[in-house]
Amino acid sequence: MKVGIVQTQWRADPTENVFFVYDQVEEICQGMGLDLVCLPEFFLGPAWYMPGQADLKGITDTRIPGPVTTLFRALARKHRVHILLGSMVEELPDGGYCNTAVLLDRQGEIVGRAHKVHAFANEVVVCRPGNSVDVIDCELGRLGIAVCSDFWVPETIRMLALKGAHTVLIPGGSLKQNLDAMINAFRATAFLNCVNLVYASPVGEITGIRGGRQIRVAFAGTSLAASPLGLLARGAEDRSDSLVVDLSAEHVLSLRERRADDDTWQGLGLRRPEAYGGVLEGFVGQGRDLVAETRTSMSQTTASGAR
Amino acid sequence: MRLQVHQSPWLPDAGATLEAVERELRRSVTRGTDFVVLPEHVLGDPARTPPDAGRSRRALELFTHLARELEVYVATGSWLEHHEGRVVNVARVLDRAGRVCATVRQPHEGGAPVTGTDFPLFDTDKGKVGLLLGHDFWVMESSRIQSLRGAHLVLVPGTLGTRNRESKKAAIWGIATLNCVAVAFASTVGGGSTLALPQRIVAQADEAPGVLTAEWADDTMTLQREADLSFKNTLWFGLWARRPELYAPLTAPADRSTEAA
Repeated sequence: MKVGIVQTQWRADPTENVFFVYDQVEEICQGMGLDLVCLPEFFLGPAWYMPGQADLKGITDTRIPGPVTTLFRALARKHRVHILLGSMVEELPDGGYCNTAVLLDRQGEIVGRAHKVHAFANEVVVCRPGNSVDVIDCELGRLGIAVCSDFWVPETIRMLALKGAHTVLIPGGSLKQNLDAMINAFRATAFLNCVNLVYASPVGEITGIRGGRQIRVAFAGTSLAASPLGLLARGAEDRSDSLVVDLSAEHVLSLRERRADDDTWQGLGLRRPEAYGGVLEGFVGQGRDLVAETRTSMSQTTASGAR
Repeated sequence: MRLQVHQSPWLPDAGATLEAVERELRRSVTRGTDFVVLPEHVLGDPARTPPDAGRSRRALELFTHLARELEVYVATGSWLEHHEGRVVNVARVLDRAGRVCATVRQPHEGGAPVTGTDFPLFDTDKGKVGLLLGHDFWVMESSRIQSLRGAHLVLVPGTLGTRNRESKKAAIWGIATLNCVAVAFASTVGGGSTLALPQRIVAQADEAPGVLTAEWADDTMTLQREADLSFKNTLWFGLWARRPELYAPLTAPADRSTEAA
């Protein structure tokens, strides 16, 4: 499976983002024979609910299906390629919002979608979370999608691997302060779950008010691909980028079989599910209502829109 | 807190190995050390070191004496013992008074697990600590459950082995990051003993025998695990944002992990 990762960079004018991303997909598809192109979380630009971005409401969010999916469906058909529409802030018919990733097949049909299950920051107030972690059966085999912060709750990738996903696609946004730990955790997750991972992240920056203080959040690219045996590709931290990797479903599945010459299978093969009731318990240190705190913080925030 | 991980060598016989471990402990453990971790199969290659009740007793007595004398928690590493009619690999933690405060028993050559010693946690004067033995560490749920139940530190008498060494070295730190927990991993075969905090590897050995020492503030993990809504620190997120009501598949017996795509 030949996979292209498109690392986008937010434009000063967010209405331009979709066209630049379209051109990047066009470019990476030229002569590459790709099976799949992955776009980052927020490839349309910063979410309106991020600090200081309230003026983007209606600009970087979209209906699904809607004009963005229509545009990329045509591109998928043209290049006969699957496209993961990273994730988008989806405006729901009832006025609510979701952080949603959509998978298009080579005919441009929607064959899968995933809503972020573990909401991050202001999303705990604004976004409706997904309520399931499911594998998508498609021409490329069993794929999983984990939207950004879903990666950081390791139960997500674990469940996808156990449900048979050979590759998990992760549209995300790299926080600059975490890069080294993030890259290593990515590699470790691929090994421990014996799964291929594909990660696409944008480059960009926002400023705004959070908790009464001016803050700056830098999204530092660093798109990644890994097999269970190690890191395969890494994107730049400070500019748009394109990566192409070959990933093998068969290799993953063969590594999951018990064998004497390799022990990658152990992470899944030595499991004892009957002993894991503890994963159904909450974290004992969880003593605050973060939704209420976030709601209060958002209500005290005044928009300031610099990007 | 101050921690030490001993990457001790196997000598030609178990008695000599135990003497060498004792010498190294007496040489390197200074006053103020809180935790010492010894590797899996600390007394020698399990293929050539079958269970021996006398040897097990001597080893345990020695480590008990050292724990008291040095006033340190000692993860004894592991060795083979007979238990309820079969051979098991046993690891223990001794407290500063030399009392056993955690035990793990694993069947040495497969078979049904030994019940009652899964993912033990114990209270110390430095907070809650977990003990994992050998391959349990490479199965993510083990350290996850201990972290969710409050372990700030996981002690691992382990084996890196000769296969996938770099992936496993990455995984030790990765487990620390993903569970927002400190890990002290001691290994003989393959080296790679590691002391890791969520945000960094504090010390990591190559293949040569030796001792790793590290120190961090007692409240390091408490601070790391506290939800920070300024998001300067985000590594707490994986513990706080969980949705356990969705995780039942992790406890289900069905295993589709090797099904074809």
